[in-house]
Amino acid sequence: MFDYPWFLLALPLALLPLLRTPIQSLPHPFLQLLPADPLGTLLDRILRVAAVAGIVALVLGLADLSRGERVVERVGTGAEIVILLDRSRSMDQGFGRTTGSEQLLMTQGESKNGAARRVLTEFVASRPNDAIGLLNFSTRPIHVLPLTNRHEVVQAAIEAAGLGRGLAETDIGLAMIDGLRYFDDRPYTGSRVLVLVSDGGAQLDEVTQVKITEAARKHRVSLYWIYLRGRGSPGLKAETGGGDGQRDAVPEYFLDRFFSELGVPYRAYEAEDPQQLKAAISDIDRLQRLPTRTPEVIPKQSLASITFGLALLLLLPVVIVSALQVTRWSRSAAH
Amino acid sequence: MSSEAPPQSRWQRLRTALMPTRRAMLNGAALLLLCAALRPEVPLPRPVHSFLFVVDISMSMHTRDMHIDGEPASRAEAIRHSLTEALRGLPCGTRAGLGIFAGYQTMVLYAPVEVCRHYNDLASSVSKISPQSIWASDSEIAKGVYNVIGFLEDGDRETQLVFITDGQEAPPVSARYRPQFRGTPGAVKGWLVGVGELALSPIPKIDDRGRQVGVWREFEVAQNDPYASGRSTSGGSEKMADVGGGKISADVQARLQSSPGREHLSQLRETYLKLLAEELEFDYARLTNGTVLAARLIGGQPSAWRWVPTQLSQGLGALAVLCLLLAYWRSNMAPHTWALYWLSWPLRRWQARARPASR
Repeated sequence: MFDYPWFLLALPLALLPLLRTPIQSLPHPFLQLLPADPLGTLLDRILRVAAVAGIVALVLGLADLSRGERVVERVGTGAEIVILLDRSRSMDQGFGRTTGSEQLLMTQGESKNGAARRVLTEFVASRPNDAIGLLNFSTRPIHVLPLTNRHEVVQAAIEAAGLGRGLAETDIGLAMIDGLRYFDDRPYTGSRVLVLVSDGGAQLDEVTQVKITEAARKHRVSLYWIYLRGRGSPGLKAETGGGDGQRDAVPEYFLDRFFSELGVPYRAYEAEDPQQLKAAISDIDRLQRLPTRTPEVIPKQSLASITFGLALLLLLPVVIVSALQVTRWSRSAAH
Repeated sequence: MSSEAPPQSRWQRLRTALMPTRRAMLNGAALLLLCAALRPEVPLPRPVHSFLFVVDISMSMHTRDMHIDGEPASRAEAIRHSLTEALRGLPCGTRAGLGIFAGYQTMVLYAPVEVCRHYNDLASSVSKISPQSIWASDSEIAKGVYNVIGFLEDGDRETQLVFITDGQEAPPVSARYRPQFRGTPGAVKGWLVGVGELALSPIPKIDDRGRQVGVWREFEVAQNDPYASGRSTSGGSEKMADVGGGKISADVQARLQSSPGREHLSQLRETYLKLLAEELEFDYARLTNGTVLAARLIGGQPSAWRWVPTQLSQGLGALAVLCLLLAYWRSNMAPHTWALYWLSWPLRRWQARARPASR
């Protein structure tokens, strides 16, 4: 409530206007001669009471009266984007397409993690009005940030993904389920995007497939997969023929096919192609747009404007009267 | 223009003009209050703090030996609760980042950001910290601390590390083979914050869905340092590493608080954490509640002095009170005369009392 509660010790000062008045008195030869002035007495009382209240407000202001933490609803206009960022150990490996013979050379180029951060930094910077949430995942999903419009912290989180080595395995299924949970209990806004940033596909079991399908359809989420193709990894689209069953053995093909049959808008982008990424960013603009409502906890706020403003308002009558006061018996007053 | 006026007269006029009347004092108070209500911000050099909070989320954090408002709670719940409280207690302008630790690695969720502006995001991510998101089941605390100190040493040396843990290494460490810190002690400043009770408690075993399925048993947990103990095939006599080298201090061995046979039970290993803190030139604090933690962190050495936009309302308000006092109490006096008048008040009282007596 109060940041400096010891200032409340000054509260007795509020009694001052009852004891004294700041309006200068003038000597009068014979006070009994003056007629009673009920209006003047009333005015004097009002002035004193107002000044008492004014000093109380002022002291409350000094003690820094603040309003406690509360939840407000922030209304935005942008899309809601949840980013799932792969933090597994494989993300430490090199990024980019190479031919078979080059794979054997251990050349240190940009890592997949580095490429992912570069891509995401650009992505977030070009979507300034969107609410962005971030979920990291490895063996388990790790909640990093809720949907937020404050992109400074999102950028700080993307940057922090470059610290240290990757963690462990990858479980895209669990991450997808947790990522879709961001949209639970939120009013539908028309533009919801789940961005999966990963360097590999995954085989998903039946239960996980059903869960993802249900949640994605229920929340009507558009799904974007930014695929970081590692050295020697397959592309997303099968370059050679073969039956579905044969192709599904490759996790990347399987995941791509699963996503495209999900029943929600789905696009896959290969991170190495800047044109594709630009397309991904502008694709979000084409989505239908309704205002977004995000509950946000506001920390305690100082009420200094209100307390000091109130003090000013209550003390103003005294100030005005003092400005209008007669400081000497002038000729006009004698008339 | 006023050349005909004598210099004394001009001086006197100046004094009269400068002498605050009650009216001037009241007007001054009103003006100051107006300024205070507008809440001006002026950059002033102030100490600022930057903290990176790293929370141990290893399995021992499920141990229910903490309390929140009198109710029993797990260590993880207690950390979530008091960290949120601590964030609330940090003054605006302070920066806070968040990381989690499991296995032997610290994962930084985000680098420090300003706490008031990002309070909602910080509080939300603190509320989601859970031992359910671990990626490895070990808990090699010293390695995790050294790991994150390395990040700060390479990047942001102004940020202080606040590592919150129970100090239970799993697998346990021995004095000879425990991880060595390779950086410069004191280059990165920080705190080790201990969580848990000093008494031993069982560690709940939690499944993937967050349900408790019993507690960890003696034979399920590594009871000895893997380097000092024998290979499983070799009957216990053959060691994984060469025994020998330098002497190990019995004191250090005792302070490691390894307890073979009781490693499946958990406690706050405060002596071990204090040993680590000493070696790293860190401070040690025990987690009681968040407000106390925030006060201790802020009371510590600041990360840097910076020009911080500072609210002037309180100062302006205090000046307004002074003006009002002058206006109400004794008018038509310059502030210093007024101060002298009231400072000498006891003297005058004494004189006034002494006079009738002397008569």
